[in-house]
Amino acid sequence: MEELFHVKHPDFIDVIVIGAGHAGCEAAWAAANRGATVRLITQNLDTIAKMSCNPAIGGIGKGHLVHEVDALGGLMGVAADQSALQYRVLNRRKGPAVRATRTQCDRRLYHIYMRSMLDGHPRIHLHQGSVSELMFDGDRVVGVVDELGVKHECSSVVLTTGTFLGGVIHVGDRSMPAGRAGDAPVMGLTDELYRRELKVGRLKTGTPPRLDKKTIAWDQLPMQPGETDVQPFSLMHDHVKQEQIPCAITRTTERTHEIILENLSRSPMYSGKIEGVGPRYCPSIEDKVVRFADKSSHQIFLEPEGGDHNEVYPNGISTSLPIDVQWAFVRSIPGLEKVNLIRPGYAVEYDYISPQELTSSLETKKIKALFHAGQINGTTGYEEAAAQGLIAGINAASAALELPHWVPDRSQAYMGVMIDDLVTKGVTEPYRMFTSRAEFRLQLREDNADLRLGNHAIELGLYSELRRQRFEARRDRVGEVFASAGAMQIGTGAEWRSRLAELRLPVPTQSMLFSSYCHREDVNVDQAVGLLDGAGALNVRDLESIKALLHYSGYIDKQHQDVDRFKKMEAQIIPETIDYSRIAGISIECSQRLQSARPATLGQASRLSGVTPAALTGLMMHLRTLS
Amino acid sequence: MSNKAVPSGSTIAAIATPPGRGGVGIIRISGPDAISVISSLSTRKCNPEPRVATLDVWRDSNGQVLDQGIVLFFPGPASYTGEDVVELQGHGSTVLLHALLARLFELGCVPAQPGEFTRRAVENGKMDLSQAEAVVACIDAATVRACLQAQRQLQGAFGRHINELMVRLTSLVAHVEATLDFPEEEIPDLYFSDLRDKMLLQVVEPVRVMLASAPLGERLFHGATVAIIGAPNAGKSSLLNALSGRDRAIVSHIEGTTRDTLEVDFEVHGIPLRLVDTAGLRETDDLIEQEGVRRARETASNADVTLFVADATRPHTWDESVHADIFLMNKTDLQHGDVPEKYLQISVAAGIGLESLRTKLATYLGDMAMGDEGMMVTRERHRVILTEALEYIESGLLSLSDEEMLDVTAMQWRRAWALLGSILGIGDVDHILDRIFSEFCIGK
Repeated sequence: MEELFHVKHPDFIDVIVIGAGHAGCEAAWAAANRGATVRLITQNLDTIAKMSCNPAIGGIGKGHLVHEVDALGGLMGVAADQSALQYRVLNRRKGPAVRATRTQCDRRLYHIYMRSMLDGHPRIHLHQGSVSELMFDGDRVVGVVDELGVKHECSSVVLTTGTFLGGVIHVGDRSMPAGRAGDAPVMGLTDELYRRELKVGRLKTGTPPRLDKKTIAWDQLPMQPGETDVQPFSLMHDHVKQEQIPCAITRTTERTHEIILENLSRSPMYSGKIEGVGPRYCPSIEDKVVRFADKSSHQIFLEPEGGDHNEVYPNGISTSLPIDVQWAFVRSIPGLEKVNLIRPGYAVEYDYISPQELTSSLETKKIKALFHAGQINGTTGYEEAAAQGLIAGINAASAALELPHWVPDRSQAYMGVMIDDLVTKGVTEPYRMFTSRAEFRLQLREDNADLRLGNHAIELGLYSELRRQRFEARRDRVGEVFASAGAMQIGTGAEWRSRLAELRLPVPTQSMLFSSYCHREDVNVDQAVGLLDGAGALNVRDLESIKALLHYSGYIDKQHQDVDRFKKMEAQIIPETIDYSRIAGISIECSQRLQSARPATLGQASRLSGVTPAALTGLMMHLRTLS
Repeated sequence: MSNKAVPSGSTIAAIATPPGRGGVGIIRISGPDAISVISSLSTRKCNPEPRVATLDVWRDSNGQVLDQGIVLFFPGPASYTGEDVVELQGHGSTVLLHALLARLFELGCVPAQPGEFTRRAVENGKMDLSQAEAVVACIDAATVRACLQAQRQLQGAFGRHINELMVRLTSLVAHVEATLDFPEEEIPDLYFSDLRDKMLLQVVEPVRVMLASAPLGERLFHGATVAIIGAPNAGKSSLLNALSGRDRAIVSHIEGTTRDTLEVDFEVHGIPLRLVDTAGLRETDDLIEQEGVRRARETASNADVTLFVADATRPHTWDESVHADIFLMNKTDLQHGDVPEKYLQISVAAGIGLESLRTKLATYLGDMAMGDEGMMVTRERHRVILTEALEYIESGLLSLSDEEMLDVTAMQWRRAWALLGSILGIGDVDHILDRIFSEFCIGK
């Protein structure tokens, strides 16, 4: 564009967020809460926080992230609660660390709540437009230019382009440039990033066809109801909705698999048209049929998309087969014999920029004040995107306002695990959160997300006054009751016997510590908690936190030792100017890996694959000689 | 010499043959500049052909010939260290070798630290940590059996067993993790009893077998001390001579001939032993002999095995109060009364029962038939790690029956996995997810 036609936006702004998906919304919100003025630029204000894939929030690992977003004053948990159609607790019978909440949400309501919250923030300014260029001053980004030639000057930029970077949609042998069905992709914006040699890769993800609700034979299908014995995501909410909409369950048949196998050559995945790498944990139905040929049937959940919507999301049959094959195989599924496909399933290929280009505050190393969050970093999932958006927002605001950066570490939050995985190891497939990625899983629970992160949130200015009061009251309640539990001895005297009998609890043969008493098989912990001082003031959420601590007592102490070791490794900072080839005891191969990943700490170096203990020892000795 | 290792980008050189005079002396060079250094040293026009012995002449900075010998060139990565390696085989003169080495340092080589070549081999993935340990064990081995055992480890047998354990553990942990991370997927039913049985059979049992071999394995390399005690003139010194096959101790019929302890190295079934003869235990006024008796008792209390020797012809030497590991009744070829059952009957003079004694000694030191000797634990480091790993596995088995504690089980088993990895010097957690995705159909 000719310099001549440029106009300048009248207002300088601290932070510009590009993209208003799940990452962009949280980034804008967190940056504004941190104190910055924010302009949120999106191609379409009517698709803010759109759920492009299934209408669910939460799940194992993901529910943990939503709780952490909420604990840092974010939006996702609040909007999910307000638009929830049904709740479920996954792993309810397993340990509290792996228990996780998930909701089905009303897509439209979710968008509306998100939009209204953003609209309501005094420092957030929405702006519809398409950014075509970034403005630079040396190695620093200083603004953006939109398609009308308007120059927006700012201190920092958060880029959340989702699947829109170089996006191409595939349905059978048809393909078209698009960021998502019906939306134009983003081209050109990142040319400058590529020129500055940021590593770029290509990924793929897919989505199933959407079904017409009124053409499904619901009465032939088993239903899975929602659950009401669930805590809402947000600390700001006390109860979940009692009226919930069920999901239905159906399965693929042998006929389904035959149809898919007969038409495999027409899938762009198998014809070689798609080069991007897809996620192994979310394979297309054609992938599942091929790779797990011994399974004659796969489960499908039919998820409602909203109270007054007519669309149903069939979870389990994402596909990029041609539309005629989609019709045929979907209609071979029980209950869907006469179904009408409202939208076709498709695969989308998109560019991502290697997260190894980022520091852990999600700022690019090569361009100052430019932050990346969400799918641009090679992740998948609304929750993963939201969590990164929030951290990028905090730090973009910090950069603009010259405040300290903040990032949780692996022992504090799933967010910390994810960000460290991303920036340290990069990605080879779309990255999704799993609890098995967290080495300190026992202490990273949904029930204590606010207790882990709330004090940081207050320090960062992320809480409203009301939220701060609610948090502090809960923190103190739980802290006091748990402290009293630590020292309490269950006695055997008359007074104890009557108290125990009252709660229908067994009397021990000799006095014992409360925590050991709770581990006895004949002790109902729900009842036993009633013995604690101040237990009467606890709400359901508080009780869960106390019970989880009792459940893992001993194991968590042991994990604290691991955390201490981890923190020591993290505290050993590797100078940016280090020359690995000059360090004793590091092989050439290792030094090349270290050179390209450029870990920030000794701990990060230890998590790189191919970095041997021998090399780490060499590196540690070297760091010691420096200090 | 400082203990600081040299940067890996450098080229190291050292004399590989032991100090002193010899027919051949070898200098080893490893690193990126190995070839260019050799070119400057020699008058050759072209590089030596890989893995072919080439006669060469080496000169100092003034062009004077220092030595002539064979050059061997092993281009990386197919070399011991994984880098370019050159060996110079010259004459075995200490002076010449040092002059050559000094010339190499002039040309840019740096002195290799002890173990540096092997260390580079590990860093470059040519061997795992257990193999590197085997290199040293192989060089230090005192018996053929120890040497063969070290070779097995060097060939990677032990490492493969550890690796196999890690693979099995990964598969079992992946099953637990899959049920935790993917509760709604159709993971094949996890029967805890199945999982427990698999863990016991595939991991716990082999680890126990390995640990049971540790006493023998460690003794193969560190040896053991065997003290011979008993009354004067019971035949202790004769036994020492007979077992070691050497005429080491002075033997006479006079009581108290041995007044100090006397040591001799020998081996039994390939286990290197230090046999210690001691003064006969008796009350005596002789100050020197008193000190000998005191030392005898001290030696016995520090020894790994104590052999008590009694004289069949003199029942008063059958000391019932003495503490010993193996009781021997000597001179049973002569007239004697009933010998208590705990005694092994031998006659050193007639050569009776010595083979039984050797077997008994070896068994006492942990000798056993192993199905696969590659599983033998020969180092304290390995034993300590395996013991700790086993504790974590067993703790995980305890919590396995409680569904609410499955995450704890997973944590304990992952710790065990990481410990096993530390034996080989490897460790990476992405293996569990890889395993989950390759085994189970995940993704609705």
